[in-house]
Amino acid sequence: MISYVSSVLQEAFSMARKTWRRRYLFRVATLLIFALAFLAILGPYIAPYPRQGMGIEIDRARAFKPPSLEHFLGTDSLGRDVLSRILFALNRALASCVFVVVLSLVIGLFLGSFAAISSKPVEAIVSYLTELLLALPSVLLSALLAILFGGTYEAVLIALIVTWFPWYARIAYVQARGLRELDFVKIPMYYGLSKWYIVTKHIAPNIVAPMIIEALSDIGSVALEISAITFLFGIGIKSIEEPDLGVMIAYSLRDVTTAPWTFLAPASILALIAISFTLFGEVIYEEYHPVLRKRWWLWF
Amino acid sequence: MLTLNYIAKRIVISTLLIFGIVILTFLMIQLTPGDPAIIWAGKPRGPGATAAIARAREYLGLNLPLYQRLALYMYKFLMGDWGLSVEFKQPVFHLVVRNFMASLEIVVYAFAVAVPLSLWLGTRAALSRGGLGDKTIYFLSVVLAGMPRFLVAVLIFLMLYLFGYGYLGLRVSPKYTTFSGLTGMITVDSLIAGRLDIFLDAFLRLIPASIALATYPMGVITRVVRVSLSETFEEEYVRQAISIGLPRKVIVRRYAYPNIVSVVAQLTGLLFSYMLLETMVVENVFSREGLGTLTSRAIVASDYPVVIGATVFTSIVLIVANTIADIVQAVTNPRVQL
Repeated sequence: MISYVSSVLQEAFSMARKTWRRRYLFRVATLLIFALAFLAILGPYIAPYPRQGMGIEIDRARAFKPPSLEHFLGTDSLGRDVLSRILFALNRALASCVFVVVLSLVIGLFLGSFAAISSKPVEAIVSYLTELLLALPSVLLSALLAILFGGTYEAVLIALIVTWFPWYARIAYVQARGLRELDFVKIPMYYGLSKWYIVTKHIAPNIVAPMIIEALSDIGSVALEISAITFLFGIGIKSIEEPDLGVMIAYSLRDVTTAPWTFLAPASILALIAISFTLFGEVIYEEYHPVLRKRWWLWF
Repeated sequence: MLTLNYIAKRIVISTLLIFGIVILTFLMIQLTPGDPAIIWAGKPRGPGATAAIARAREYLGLNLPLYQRLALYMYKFLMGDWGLSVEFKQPVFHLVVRNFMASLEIVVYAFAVAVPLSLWLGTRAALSRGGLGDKTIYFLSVVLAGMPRFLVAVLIFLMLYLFGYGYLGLRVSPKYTTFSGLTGMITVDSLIAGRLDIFLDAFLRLIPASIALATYPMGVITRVVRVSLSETFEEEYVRQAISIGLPRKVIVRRYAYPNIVSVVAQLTGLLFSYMLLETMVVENVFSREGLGTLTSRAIVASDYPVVIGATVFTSIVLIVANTIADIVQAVTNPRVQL
């Protein structure tokens, strides 16, 4: 199992390594991603005021302190250290994005590949369902789930997975359809091997590398989407003390003219996440694009 | 002929998709854990609760078998009877359409700003690929598309506030709130009614919001135009035109642009769904009313009919938009149909 996964990941790694050598923008993006991941994992341990970060400790006397040595990013309307709040929120934001993307990628990859080698009716039904789910807006779906099950964080995550996996299913389907007429897929089929075996052994390893890169660069968009949903509806938190980037931003909006740092700090962290992941994917895409890689000068 | 066939096929598929969405929401209503009637009535409490639940039960036809319920739901859906809102005490259909139009207004204006601008920027980038201008435009487009929309919107709002235009919130100034028209888009309605003062007021308030929203499609479309123009410059027919010695403007406009129209059309359709989310955010910042305020109030009141109605309506609009985009793509690029 481990060797299988590692052999699948190897191609994606080699794509990244090649791009790392050539493009400095890629290095910047990758380092930023690693720094963010590092902060997200260690955040709760290195936060200067962990109790304020979790939102347990509230002191209205210290509200709206501008950035200083004591509070690097100032304090918010309830006197909590903004930096600690962000460090706590970052953990959750990145973990949920990775969860959503990985799960959607796995579902989409297998569903799309299965559809490509299945019989005609199954193929038609799967692509119909994919189109159907693509038309559902994730915001409203999460609102629906929030009413049904109460506004838990799971509602947001489920809504996002339901609306994201069709994209990957579509990509995998198109890629796998190109492979299904090839010998290494046809011969095992004639041989009578199970579809599950063909998908895992012959189709998935061949299409997964570009999809992993694509999924990595989608993490940024997912982060934006999650934070926009929590920003809009305030769903996904048990209490307003809980650190979450979207909710922090929503609450800081009232004081943006008097205390802009309470808004700017979480919003720019979010921007940093989105931009660095997008750049990561974009640069690899460009590096492997047959036309874009060519040297080019204006010759007409 | 091929094109007509393709269009007919596309329309049939889209109709099926719309029915699929309706059935999906039907299942979401009927197969909820617990009693669907309670959720449909907005989880009521207090003296009127039993009556409200009984009304909801009758509306949903819960004593009928499932297939008759589906037929009933379909019939009511097609007749525009989407239930009564719990929170607003109004028919859901009107509520959703009115608020959706308010959101659509910003989206339309945002696209009107973004598409020409990103075409221009993308062309500039593609023509000077690898140069400083290209790098600047490229980086700018990544940053613009990657910034959270609330950051852009608040920055614009702060700027307006600093220069003394902080009142440009809302959709129209409070003295015109009684004004309403046919389409629900104030800028269109006021022009039809010939009220230039309302139009100017609504238009001025629309500009900052739509600029904030336009940054996202601008970033994305610029990158795509850049890539697909670069690809087009490698095509044989463009090289042929270059070798004849035509001027650059002619090559770009007459030879290269028709090839990327299909890509831009399809992308615009695909962006639509994400733009809706961003519109809600922008509306929230500029305190305009629209789909975002409707949904967040509906969540607080557990107003299930409204959220279902909004979901169905939005999905249908997205399907229609994507169909139109696909048809435009097929007409401009016949290879797509194969």
